[in-house]
Amino acid sequence: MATLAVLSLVASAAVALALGSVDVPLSRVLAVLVRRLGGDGGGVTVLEDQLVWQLRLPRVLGAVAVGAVLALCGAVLQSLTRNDLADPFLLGVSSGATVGAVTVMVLGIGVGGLVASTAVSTAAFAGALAALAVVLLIAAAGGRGLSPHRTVLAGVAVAYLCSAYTSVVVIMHGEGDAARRVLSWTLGSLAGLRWESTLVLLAAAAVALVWFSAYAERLDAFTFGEVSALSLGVPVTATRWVLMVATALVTATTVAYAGVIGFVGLVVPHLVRPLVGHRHVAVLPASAWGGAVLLVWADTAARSLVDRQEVPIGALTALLGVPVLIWLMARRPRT
Amino acid sequence: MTHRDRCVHGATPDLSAEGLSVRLGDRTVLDDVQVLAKGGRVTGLLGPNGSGKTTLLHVLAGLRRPDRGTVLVGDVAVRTLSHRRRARTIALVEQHAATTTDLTVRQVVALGRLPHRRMLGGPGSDPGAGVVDDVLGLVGLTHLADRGWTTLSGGERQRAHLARTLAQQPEVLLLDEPTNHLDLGQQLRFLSLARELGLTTVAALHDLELATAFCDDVVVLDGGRVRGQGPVDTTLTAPLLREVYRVEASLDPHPRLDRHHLVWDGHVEETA
Ligand SMILES: Nc1ncnc2c1ncn2[C@@H]1O[C@H](COP(=O)(O)OP(=O)(O)OP(=O)(O)O)[C@@H](O)[C@H]1O
Ligand SMILES: [Mg+2]
Repeated sequence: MATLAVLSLVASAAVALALGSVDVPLSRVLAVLVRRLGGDGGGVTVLEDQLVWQLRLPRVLGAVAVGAVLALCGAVLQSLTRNDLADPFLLGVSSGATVGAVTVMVLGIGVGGLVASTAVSTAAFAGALAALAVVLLIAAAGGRGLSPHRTVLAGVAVAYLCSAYTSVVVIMHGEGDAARRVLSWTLGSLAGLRWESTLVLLAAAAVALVWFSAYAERLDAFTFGEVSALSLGVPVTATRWVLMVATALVTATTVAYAGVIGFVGLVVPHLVRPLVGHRHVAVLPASAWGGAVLLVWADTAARSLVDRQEVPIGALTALLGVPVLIWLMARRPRT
Repeated sequence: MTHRDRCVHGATPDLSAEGLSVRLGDRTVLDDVQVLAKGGRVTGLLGPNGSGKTTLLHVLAGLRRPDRGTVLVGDVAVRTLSHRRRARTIALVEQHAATTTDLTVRQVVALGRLPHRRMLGGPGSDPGAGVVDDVLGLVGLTHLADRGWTTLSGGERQRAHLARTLAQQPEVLLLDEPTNHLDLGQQLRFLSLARELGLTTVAALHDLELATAFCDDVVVLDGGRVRGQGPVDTTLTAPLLREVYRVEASLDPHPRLDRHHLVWDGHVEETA
């Protein structure tokens, strides 16, 4: 099973490297990779190298990392909150990041001499952290150890506040195509990924996979709720804090580089559970795999469906996600 | 060796608590509660709806900090135990424990092994993994081990919950209305099984008849206070039942069996 998963991911990535505005035959893709990894690539052109190694590979690996992170976070948060509709943006990360991004994009408030795209990433990350802090502050104020109910409510409240700010800024201060740029940022894109950002994302994905997997059994213990988790010896409050903050941090990292890509985190865990069962020792790696494959294909479609233009990747994942969600709701057991 | 001998062993210490008070909002839910559940015996926890039974069980299990008072297992304060040590000492079958997650019965029962594992060790770090099969046999669920949770009947779920708590290999077993939703046969089977385990057991029950048949001792709660405590036959007196449950009833010697049973005339007419 694991072998099959790895093979399918590698195959998806290989095809994704070949497809695009200009198709590169798989054999040439291989040649580029071989040459770059120190072998004898045999007559690789500069254009091929640039296309495959400089432009597409960081993007494809970025898709793997972002997809894996979002799906992992979705699986963790669905278990922690015992809420099937929980997704990685539950804690206000996406709306906070948008506030940060909009502040830079529309108001043009710079971040200490950084180039535009880095400034947006930095501001988005800072905004996400600020929103997370506010959500946790509200959620913890009741003193009952981050109850899922309060946390979800706090997340919704902060999201509304942030979107109010975003709308006001865009409408009052947006010039030219500001609204279009903001919208396209919130739908996410992997177009901006270069090697530096991709390496950060891969590191975040590796940390998330290892870290969350260490919590697999403790997440299982939440199956019958927090009292039962506690009676099984899981320190519920501490576990919630650690995992909620950790999911928010890695999610914020993806948002900073790739914007808000919806539905992956919500849907992928639901898709893999019928395949691998409900224990997190299986659900977590399977979600990482599913998210990675899904996003590789979604990104390939995003850059090759329409000539000379990118379809927003968040729109593509939603297009896939909504029918799946409806199907899931329809077959959900009534317990 | 029977299933029971393999999965239940070790000490059966007394469970005791003194001066327990719990306030929730502006309500006093437990007020200076003192209880003693003797080692290896079954203690019934009785009282009307809202009298504080569930709250008391959560405090006894170490899941909720009382505002005042201490809980002791043997002579060890529950508060001083680590989370995992506590889970290996005290196990709780909850009043309501539902899920939509479709784990198999065996996976649910295996959750009980969690406190015996090293946190990063995974299943391999648990030398007692065979206990899961033993407790499944003990509660008679071996044939359903690979069934999905959502396909089980209420009675089967309740037995699986018991199996999960037994997989924790606790010394103290707390049961919160374990016979809810069970038919009479299942109620008797469940409580007989719980009795035979020989653990220090506290069971919140609504059915006084079951309590007289299966409990050695009882604790009667009303409005968060202990109204009576001791051997079941001498504690459930007619005046106590009238005061706590507002019923005219008494425990009379059973005509055929060597025990008492409950006879009730009716409820007390409330005078305004
Ligand atoms: N979080 C809470 N805030 C305020 N009051 C609470 C809270 N939880 C429980 N209570 C109150 O505490 C009292 C005791 O509740 P508890 O659940 O312990 O009763 P119980 O004896 O188990 O009842 P039942 O037989 O219905 O299960 C009730 O009056 C209940 O309303
Ligand atoms: Mg109760």
